[in-house]
Amino acid sequence: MIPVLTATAHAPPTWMVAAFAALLVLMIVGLALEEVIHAKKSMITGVFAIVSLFAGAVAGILPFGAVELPGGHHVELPVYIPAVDWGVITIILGSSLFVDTVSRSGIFTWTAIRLTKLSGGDPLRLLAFYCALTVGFSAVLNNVTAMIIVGSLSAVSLAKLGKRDLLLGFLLTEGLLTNIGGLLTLISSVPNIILGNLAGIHFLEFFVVAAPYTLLSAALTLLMAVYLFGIQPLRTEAEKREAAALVAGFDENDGIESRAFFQLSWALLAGFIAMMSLAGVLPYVADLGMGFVALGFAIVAMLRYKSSVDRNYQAMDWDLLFFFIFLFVVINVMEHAGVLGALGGAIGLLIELGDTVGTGALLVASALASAVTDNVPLAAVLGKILAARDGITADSPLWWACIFGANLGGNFTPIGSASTVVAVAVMHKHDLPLTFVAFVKKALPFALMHVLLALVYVLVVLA
Amino acid sequence: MSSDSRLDAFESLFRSAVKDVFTLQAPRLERVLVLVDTPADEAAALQESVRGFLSCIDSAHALQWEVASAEDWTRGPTPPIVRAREVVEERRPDLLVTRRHQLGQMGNIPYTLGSVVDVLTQATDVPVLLLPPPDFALPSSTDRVMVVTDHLSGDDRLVNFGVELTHRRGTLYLAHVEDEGILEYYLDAIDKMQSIDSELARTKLPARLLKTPADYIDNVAAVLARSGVEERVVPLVRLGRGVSAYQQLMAEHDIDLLVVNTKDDRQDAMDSMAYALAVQIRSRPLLLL
Repeated sequence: MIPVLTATAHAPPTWMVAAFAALLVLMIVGLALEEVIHAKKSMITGVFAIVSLFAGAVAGILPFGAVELPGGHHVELPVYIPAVDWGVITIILGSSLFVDTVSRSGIFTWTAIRLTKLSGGDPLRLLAFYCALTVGFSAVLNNVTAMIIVGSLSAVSLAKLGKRDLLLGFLLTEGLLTNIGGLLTLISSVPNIILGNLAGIHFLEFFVVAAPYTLLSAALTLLMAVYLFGIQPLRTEAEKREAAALVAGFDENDGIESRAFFQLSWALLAGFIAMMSLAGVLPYVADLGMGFVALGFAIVAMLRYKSSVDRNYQAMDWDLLFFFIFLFVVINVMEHAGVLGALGGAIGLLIELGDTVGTGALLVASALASAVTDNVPLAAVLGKILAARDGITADSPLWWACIFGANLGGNFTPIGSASTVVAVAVMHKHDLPLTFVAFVKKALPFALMHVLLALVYVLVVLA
Repeated sequence: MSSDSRLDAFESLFRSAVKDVFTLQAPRLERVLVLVDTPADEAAALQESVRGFLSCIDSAHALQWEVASAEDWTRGPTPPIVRAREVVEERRPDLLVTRRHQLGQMGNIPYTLGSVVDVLTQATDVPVLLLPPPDFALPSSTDRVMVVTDHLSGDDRLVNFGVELTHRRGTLYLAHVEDEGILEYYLDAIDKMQSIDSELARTKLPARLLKTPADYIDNVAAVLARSGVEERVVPLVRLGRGVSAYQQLMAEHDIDLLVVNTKDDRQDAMDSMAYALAVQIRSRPLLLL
């Protein structure tokens, strides 16, 4: 769980709240302009973490001193250590290591190539299979990895089929679907992990609630993509034969270095999903948490590379991990500075609009906010505010309003989520330039449909 | 690892999974022209021995044989080299049979194929079967045929000629020799680059270079087996140094016929390995495509 809010003896004065709020806004703007200022996420949040901590120390709002552990023990820790939600960090670290290690067995590329061959090279079937693949991969992997795998395969397979003109439509659809697939499980996206953890929603419970929306939304996205991007099936037998011959050249076994590790990876992946599903209810494991499960499976998978495991560590996205760590520090300082309390008051006004209007407004506001900046700080801030309010239980639609909003807002703009940033990067790599405005124009019908459908789902089905 | 690096890594993975697929397609072989600078009776005798050598296709394709002897192209006002080309263009054979050093004044020196062969291989698109000089015996059949190139993968035409000219139940050697000297030159450059792991490059680069032709040969063998072709396919994929590597392979396998490209997409084969190979390998027939 994210560290509990620690109230300072006196509420900070308004000018101090405003000053710290300005710091938070600056950081969020910095993250939104990441590409423009040419700085990695971790550097942006790192700078603001240092500045916030120093400013907090000067302002006397930080709770220095010993930290009380369960059992009444006290331990001296730097103030920024308990500020970090290590439960979330261990889930991200463990899952990333695990997924990266098993992906080296070739299971994901094997699946992707098998589906490509199964499509027979027909563009319509190919898009349908890649959409399913994107949703599936986004659910099990993280959105960025899913987009990288499916996006790069789309580029290679469409080039092979001589259908490069369809690549833009494929990549855009896949980019949007990563955020739909990212809703499927508790570990599919970082906002899910943060909000789900704070709300106390278990893995299986999350899946049961999110799956119907995800499937329906993905199916509608596919239909819209077929219509808007003019994806046509192959008509003549000669076309079908030629396309089938071209995709027959793909060898799904090419990336498999060890058949034994390939099979073991399937078993490990199934075990990982099963254990994550049951982590909240299994004796002892429930106490150790999902981070333990993720790290445990990562260690078992990495035994295959026990003499060269440093390469597995090198493959980690350390920028992303340090981004989360620094972000938690900044948000913790903002908590002590009263910024979250002030934001909570504003959000409280939305919530108080009523069960229907309030929840809907929260979903739309989350989506709009997440469209222009990173959804992780948004989820962390919203989560802390909701967790601090009385009477909001795990089954409250308000949590789901935040979860849907934070994930789906990424579909409005090319900077709305890390996976859409990757989709645009693949487009640029293949000389398919798409401006910010052009992306918004193409994505808007999809994004509106996703949010409208989520509104109906949260307000009608989950309320 | 950044998203850009991972994207690049996965694209490489998928590109690697795209294999060249072999399509079995018998080349058109109906008319054969034997063009030599000897009198008609000697040319006719040579034609008979070539028919024996190519017995595997002679009966299967019911080949029409023609002879252009010295009388047909070496006498008259037109320079013989020009006339030789005209004869080929007039008769439009599917296969041209000849010897090196036609009209040669320099004897069988191992430094050139002679100007006539040079012109015929470069100025026409007809495959040329280059026979060994008369002091070497012509093999009795094409039991062991070797297709050689330094870029075998995807070269269906070369392989299809190899398949067609290999005697039924004979052995087709598909050889790809990656030039060790060039590879070493690049690896030396990589050794001096901080951003590339030299150790990794020394392991992965040669393996990658050899994997593509090896995969292609596997596919050729599978396609031939599925099509009921009874020839045995033997892959010979390795690192080596130019012509000497191919000479070594030929000696190891006692090859009856060597199939090489002289005209490919790069249009430089006759200036590089294929020409050197054709010049130096004098004891065996060569099919120059």
